[in-house]
Amino acid sequence: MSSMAESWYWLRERARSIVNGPRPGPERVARARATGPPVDIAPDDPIVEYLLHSTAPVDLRSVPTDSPAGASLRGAGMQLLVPLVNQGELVGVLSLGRRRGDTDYSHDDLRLLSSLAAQAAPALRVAQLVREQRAEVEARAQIDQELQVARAVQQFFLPREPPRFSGWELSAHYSPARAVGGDFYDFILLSNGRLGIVIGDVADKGVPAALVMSATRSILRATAQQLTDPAEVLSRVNEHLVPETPTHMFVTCMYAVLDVSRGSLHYANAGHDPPFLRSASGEVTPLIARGLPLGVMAGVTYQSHITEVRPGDHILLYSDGLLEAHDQRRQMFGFDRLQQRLTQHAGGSGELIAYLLGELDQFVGPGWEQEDDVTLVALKRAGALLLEFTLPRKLGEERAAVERIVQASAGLGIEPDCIERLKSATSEAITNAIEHSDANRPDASISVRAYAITDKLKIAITSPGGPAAEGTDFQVPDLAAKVEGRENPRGWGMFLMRHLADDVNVITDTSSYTVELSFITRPAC
Amino acid sequence: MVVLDLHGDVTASAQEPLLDAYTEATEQGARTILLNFQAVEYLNSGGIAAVIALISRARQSDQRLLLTGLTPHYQLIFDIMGLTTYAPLFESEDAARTFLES
Repeated sequence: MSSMAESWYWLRERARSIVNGPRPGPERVARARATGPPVDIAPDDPIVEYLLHSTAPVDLRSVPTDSPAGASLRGAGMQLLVPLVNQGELVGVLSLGRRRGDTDYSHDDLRLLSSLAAQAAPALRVAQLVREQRAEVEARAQIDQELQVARAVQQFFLPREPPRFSGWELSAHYSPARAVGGDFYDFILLSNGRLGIVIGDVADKGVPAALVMSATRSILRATAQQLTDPAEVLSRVNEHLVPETPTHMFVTCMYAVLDVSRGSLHYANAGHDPPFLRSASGEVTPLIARGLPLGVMAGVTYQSHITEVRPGDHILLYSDGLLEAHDQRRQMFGFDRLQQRLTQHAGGSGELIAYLLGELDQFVGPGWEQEDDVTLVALKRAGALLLEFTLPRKLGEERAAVERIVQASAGLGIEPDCIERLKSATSEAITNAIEHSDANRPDASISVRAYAITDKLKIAITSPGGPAAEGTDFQVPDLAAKVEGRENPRGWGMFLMRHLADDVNVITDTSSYTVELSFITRPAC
Repeated sequence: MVVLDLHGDVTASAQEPLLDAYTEATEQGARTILLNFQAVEYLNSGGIAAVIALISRARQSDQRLLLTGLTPHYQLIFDIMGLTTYAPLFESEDAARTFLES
């Protein structure tokens, strides 16, 4: 072969594979390389088809003139092309320049080249396969490494364990999909016995999503300490996040603030699936709040809503990885199924999560490849509902109501003197509710609930509207002024409740007024 | 001393009959009136407000109002409200009489 001036070849290159993607195909452009400038051969170049059907070396002059590669090769001084065909596939071309000695290639030369090509083609194909496979392995390793980084970033920012508060159970579960979906959740300790609860999902995967997630988390943490209203918090976070978020990415995020002592939950939502409130009696309500996801556009505002989490109630926050999990018939787990399953469950927050994961497992069946991250955050206010009833707004009704509560709490081991305090305080609360409820809603009744909570009996009296001023801006009555006739002798209700009960909470929202009285039941009232 | 024996429920609606009884006792020339809660089954802040109204009336007419027959629970309530400063509390009617005689 020393008699031949130069040899050219081109190898097909293959596109890098994508994990779990389609089988790799040939790259659009093959490239001829040699000592001279490389010659590109497009896959649709007529020369490809021409060479594929040639059984012997081809004189470049006979190659179709509309072949751009043919023209380039001719320009580079090439004369002879030897197709390397393996199993009907053109895997390469030997390209030879003018034969030394100014003679044309002989019959023997051509035979030798054909024979060489017949041996080289399979060897070349093997080499190509090895090379492709190595590239694939490298690409896969790189993607795996990227996923590991993304997962590490993501999990680094997830709380190691939920905070603990007396009277509350908090649990969380996070299971990443193989490709890491961008879910996150967080608990933020705030002032005045409040707890920020966050669940979110970055609409992308891998390292970029993990970085946006960590930015969202940090901005939220800082903002939550500065602002109280969840709607304002989300709005501020959005302003910070918009310039930091790539255009194709956005973050759904639910942010709630729980008042741990009162049980009130303020929440606002930036496009995340609505959490569920499951009442102690098994009623399940989605907490609807609407708003655009974070990072989409500036100037977005949100609305805050409030709900009361009563003893025995659960709140469940979740990601779409649960809702959008498919079974083997490609049916989705879905919102309705989740709501229905929640109705059936009772137990602690950890049990609720375990129960839902069990339901998910059963739904998707064996061999399920998790499609997206699954995140669940559950909180339960401790306690069991002993009794719930309503009563008309008529003075005197409080006597029978108090008796019902005393009977329902008979098993709690309350001391007799505590029962007296309970009766008086509850009677005051119900009387206040009867006398001070919203006069514009005469038909709205008063509801009474009693709960057993570890070592406490809690009695909640809810009336439509009511004496908010007395509860939130409480002042000790001025007995001297009353005795001297300068003031109405009445107005002792809240004063007595505060002295007789072990704890009094007043919870107001736009349409109702709730007084919660707590009595310690053990070891002694 | 005139003794007013209260019965049953003493709530806000007790104010009128209480004041009527008080007026009647005053008309009989009573300078000291003893409210006896012995037979009271239920007493709430509305009823106690009626007692405050009586204390107010007694102060205006320079009379004295005394209390007796309260259970320990209601004694506690009268105490925390500060009422016993204005209307002293006695264990029994006899104890009130002894106090007056001394």
